[in-house]
Order: sequence, then structure tokens, then C-alpha cells
Amino acid sequence: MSPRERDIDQKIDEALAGSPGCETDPVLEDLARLYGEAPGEQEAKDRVRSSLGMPAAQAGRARFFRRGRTALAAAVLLAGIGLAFLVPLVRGPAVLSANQLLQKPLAVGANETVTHIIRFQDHTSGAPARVLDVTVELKPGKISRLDFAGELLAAVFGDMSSDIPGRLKVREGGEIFHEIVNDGERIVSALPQLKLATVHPLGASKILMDERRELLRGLVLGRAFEGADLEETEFNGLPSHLISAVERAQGDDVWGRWKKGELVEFRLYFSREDAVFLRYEVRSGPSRSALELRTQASLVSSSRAGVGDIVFEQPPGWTVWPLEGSLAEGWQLRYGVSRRDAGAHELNASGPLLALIPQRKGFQLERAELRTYRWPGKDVEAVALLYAREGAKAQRIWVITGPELPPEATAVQQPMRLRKAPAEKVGSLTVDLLAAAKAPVWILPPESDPLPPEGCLPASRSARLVVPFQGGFGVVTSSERSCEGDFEPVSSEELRQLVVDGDLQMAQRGTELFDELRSAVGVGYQRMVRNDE
Amino acid sequence: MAWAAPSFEEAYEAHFHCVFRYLSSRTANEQDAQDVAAEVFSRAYQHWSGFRADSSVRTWLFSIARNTLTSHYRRRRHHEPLGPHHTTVASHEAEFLRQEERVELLAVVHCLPDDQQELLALRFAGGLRCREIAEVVGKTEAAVKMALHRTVEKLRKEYEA
Repeated sequence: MSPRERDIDQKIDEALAGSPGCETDPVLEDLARLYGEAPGEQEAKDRVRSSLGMPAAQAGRARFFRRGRTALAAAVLLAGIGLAFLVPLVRGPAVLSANQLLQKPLAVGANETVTHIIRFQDHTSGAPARVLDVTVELKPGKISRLDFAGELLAAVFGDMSSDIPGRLKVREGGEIFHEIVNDGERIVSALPQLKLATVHPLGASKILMDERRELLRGLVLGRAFEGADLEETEFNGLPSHLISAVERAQGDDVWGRWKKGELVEFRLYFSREDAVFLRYEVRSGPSRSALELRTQASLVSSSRAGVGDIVFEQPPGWTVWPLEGSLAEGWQLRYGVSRRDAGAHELNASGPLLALIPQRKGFQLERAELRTYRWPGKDVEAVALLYAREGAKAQRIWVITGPELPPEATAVQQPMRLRKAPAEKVGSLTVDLLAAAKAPVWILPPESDPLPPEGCLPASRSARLVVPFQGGFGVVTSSERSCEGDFEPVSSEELRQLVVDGDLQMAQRGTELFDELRSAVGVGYQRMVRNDE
Repeated sequence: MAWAAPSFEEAYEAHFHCVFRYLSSRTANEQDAQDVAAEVFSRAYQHWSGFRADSSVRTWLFSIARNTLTSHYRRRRHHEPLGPHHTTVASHEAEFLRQEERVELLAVVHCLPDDQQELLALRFAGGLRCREIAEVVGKTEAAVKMALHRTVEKLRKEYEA
């Protein structure tokens, strides 16, 4: 065994300790960080405690156990644990997490009433846990497991289904603050409704809001069905810009991944800066997978943009590089990630990608490549990779990454060309993108009618249209599929003030208008919005 | 003074964190990690009276964890990618990039053979020293050190390529 092999324990200890000033191995440090997090630990700990009948941990109790290890304490503890084991066996209430509830069968036989205690815990990292203990007394009925789960969630979050005869209590901090009784004919809500905002896309989903109506995070559980789309979603009580962000974040690419009847959990994370993070996860069924759509607080202007907006803000000390590459026909890039069923917001397939690169001394961009991952039975993902070097250390930068790739994915690499954009153009464009991010801008081909074609614009959404007008370009605001007001001519410079967020289909590329617009906008950066027809 | 065996509660408090981190790194998702953790400590509790002090509580718990994981894999109908799973959300630029690096490192780790992934998990997530790992996996300490060194070097080569 070489000295290096002998030292490995010590080096890893240093990396795990992460002591400042202590020079350790970067790879070991990265590994220590990688393995250093275990999401859901506290919930798991509480769950084990609960299942073994151990009381909640308290600061003084550990000392008691250390010092007062008396026979009496042991006897009391063992008796408590024994009782906790025995009680469920004698048909006591079981404590189930929401996830367990969705995964385990809940059968209610004939002539029996079953009580379940279901603990809902929202354990998004970095935020205090909120636990709702829900006691459900069920009577026999024609309730399948999935139906029960869905209806129960609906019931918990405000809508009691008449399909579930029984009693439902919601406790928080030991105090009952919501009780619903359903005698099979009518529903009586004994206590005031929870302060919850309703989002009801799939029959059983809500978003928790705090009293100030600032949504910090939400957990939405729903049952997917084919053809579900946003038109069936109602958002009540959310700030309008968040509704918009959520709406825009939900494209067919997300919904299309679900199979009928699958239970889907999608989490919406909101920071106080109103950046929006969404995580969709299919919790059961053949397409069990996770898709995370996320955006950056630092990349998204507060309250004006959300997930789905491709908004590149140039932070101080960073520069923007367009990457030139191409994808096969039918592929589009989004956030540098391609997807066969690309959603509503995409970068142009063969247009340039923009990458944010730190502007540090010694940081050198070497090459870029587009890596396409393929694996059987799944969509293909492509990720733009930048290879850079800073001093002696080589770095690989994922321009923007998509969902976690499965290990069996194989990579197909394509070279991409690096081209540095003129700084003055990039700077002004990125600022303008943010300024104009409130409403989408549609660019119509020259041969089209000034009015958008039927079905071109999504209902209930206004848009600014850019059309050829008097030898130049005109802009008009449209809403509800009709144009209001006159076209106002705009100069090329003014066009730069707009987000090019239009319905430019692949076939329309190469047209004179497209080239003119591209030229007017500067670096040829287009935000594409898929036609919602 | 005679050595007093720790109570189950003490052992639970002392070692849950490491065991759960290890399980978290060896299961496909958070829910599985929680399920297996519950099973591990349930088994440990059931056999607590039979625990003999000829090994440390820590390595004893990790042995149970390994066995429970094996049973868990066996029960699963299809194999899912294992490895540390993170559900945290990037809140700013630096964190975002750091997370991307993690994803990349994770991909490299996933390409390692399972026994090497296991070794990394025991050492980095479980925090076991090589001597303890040797006890858990039934090898000599020297063999574990050598294997760990080779694993890290292999990973370094892939990661920095």
C-alpha cells in the first residue's frame, strides 16, 4: 500500500470537515458536498420516532438518558415503545405520510370504520416545516385507493367531496382548526376554512398560502389525465404575475409526460423575490420521473417574469456568449436544453444560444459542444456544454441543465462554435428583454393578415403584435384574439426595446421579415412562443 | 467504572444522521430513503437486545442498513438510478452553478461500479473510517483503503477530463 493510499482516510476526513484554510483535494471536497446532503432527514427521523413510539426529541431529554439511566426510565421507555407497537396491531390509527397514503392501499371493508391519521408535512428545504395532522374516519364505500387519495387531498385542502362519508379533522400544533363532517348527504364545516388558495387543475390540488398571501411554497398533488391542459386550471388568490408565471410554465411538454391516472406531485416554489421554481414529479405509474423547471432569482426580474421566460440578465462580472450550433430538424433548444416535445418557451433551434460566463481574470473559454443524450423509451435531452479553463483547472460548464439524466443515457457530441458577441449589443438587449418581459410579443409573417389568425393567440392573454407596417414595423396590443387600437409604427431601435417573443415557426425562418427583424434586434436572439392552437 | 451499553435511544440519536445520509445516497429518491430508514431502525430495535458489544453500534447499524438495502433492491421490480439525490432549489447564481457541478459529479459517480459507489457512500455519506468500512463489508482495512484510493483516482480522472 502506497503512502497515498494510506493517507486517503485523512484526506477524506479533511474534506468532510471542510475546515477553512485547510487545503484539501477539490474532488474530495466535491464528493463531501455531494454526499453531505440528505433531503428529508428530519421527516424521516420524526417518522421513525413515531413508528417506534419514541417521543419527540427535546434538548433536556438526552441528558436525562445519559445521566439518569435508571431501571425505571428504561422500563417506562420500553413499556411506551411496546405499547406503540401493540396499539396499531390492535387496530389503532396508523400514521401515514401523504406519500405513503398515495402508495399504499387503503381498503375499507364492509361494515367497518377505519380511522387513519395522515400527516402532511411540507418540508421544502430552508423553510420551517408545517405539519397538518388529519384524522379521517372512513366508512365503507365504493372508494378506490386512488380516488380516495385524490378526494382526501381535496377534502384536506378545502373541498370536501360528497363521495367520502366520514369525518375529517385537521390539526395544526395539536389544535383542531378545521373539521369537516360528511354524513353522506351534506357536508358540515365546523370551523372556518383554511386560508388556502385554490388551484384546481386536476381535481385535488391546492396551494398553501400564508396570511399575507405571499406564497412561499406549495405542494400540489393531482391526478393526471390525458388532455389535461391549462384551460381547466383555475388559479384563485395568487398574485397575477405568479399566475401568469405558473401558466406559462405549464406546457404540453409537462402535461404530456403523464399517463392517464398517474398521481402527479408538482411542487411550486416561490421565493420572496417572486422567482418561481417548479418541480413536477410523477409519483406513480409507468412514467414515474421528475422534471424540474426552474429559474433563477438572479436571472429573472422580480415579479415580471417567471418560469418559461428566457430572460438573460447580464450580472456584473459576467459576459454573454452566443453559441452557434445546430440541431436536427424538429429539435428546439430551451435553456440550452432540447426536448423533443419542447414546451411553450424555446430558443430557436438553429439560432444562437446565449451563455453566461464569469468574467474573471484567467478564465478562458476553450470550446463548446452540444451533447445529446439518448436512451431507450425516453425523450432525448441535449445539453450545451462549455469547456473552460481557469488557471490550471479545467472546468466544464453546463450552460443550463435540464432534468437529471439517467445513467444509461449515452451521449452524442456535436461541436459548437464559440463566438463572442459585441458587448454593447448584448448589454442593451438583455436590459431590454427584462423591460419588455411583461407581455409576449408576436411577430407575424409579412403575408399574414394584421389580425392574428383564429386560435393564434391564447385566450385571456394579451400580446403585442409586431407586423409590417408602412414600410417599417407596427406594433399593436391585442387581447382576447382581437386587436385593439391602431398600429403604431416603431423604429428598428424601438424594436430593440421589445422582447422578440413570437410565433416564428421554422418555416418562416429565412423570410425577409425575419431577417429584418433579426437584424433590427441585434444579436439575433429570439424568444419563441409556441402557437397554442 | 464498567462500560455501559448505550440505550437504543442514544444509539438512534447518535447515528441516525449518518445512517440516513448513507441510505439517501444509496436509494433512488427521498421517499425510498425514508422507507428504508424506517425499516433499518425498526430491525435494529427488534434486535437491540441481541446486540453484542463485540462490534461498535455504528458498524452494527450500518450492517443492518446494508442488508436492508439489499432486501429493498430485491423487492423492487425495476432498477432505478441510485445515488445522492437533491431536491434543493438554487437560490442564486453561485448555488445554481454549484448544483450543476453536483449533477455532473453525480453522473460520473453513477458510472462507477456498484461496489465502488457503495464504498464512496459508506465513507462520504456514512462518515465511516476505513477500519469501520472494513468491518461492515468484511474486508481488511488495507484492502478498503486501496479500493477507496483507486475509486477516488478513477473518479478524479473522469471528473476532471
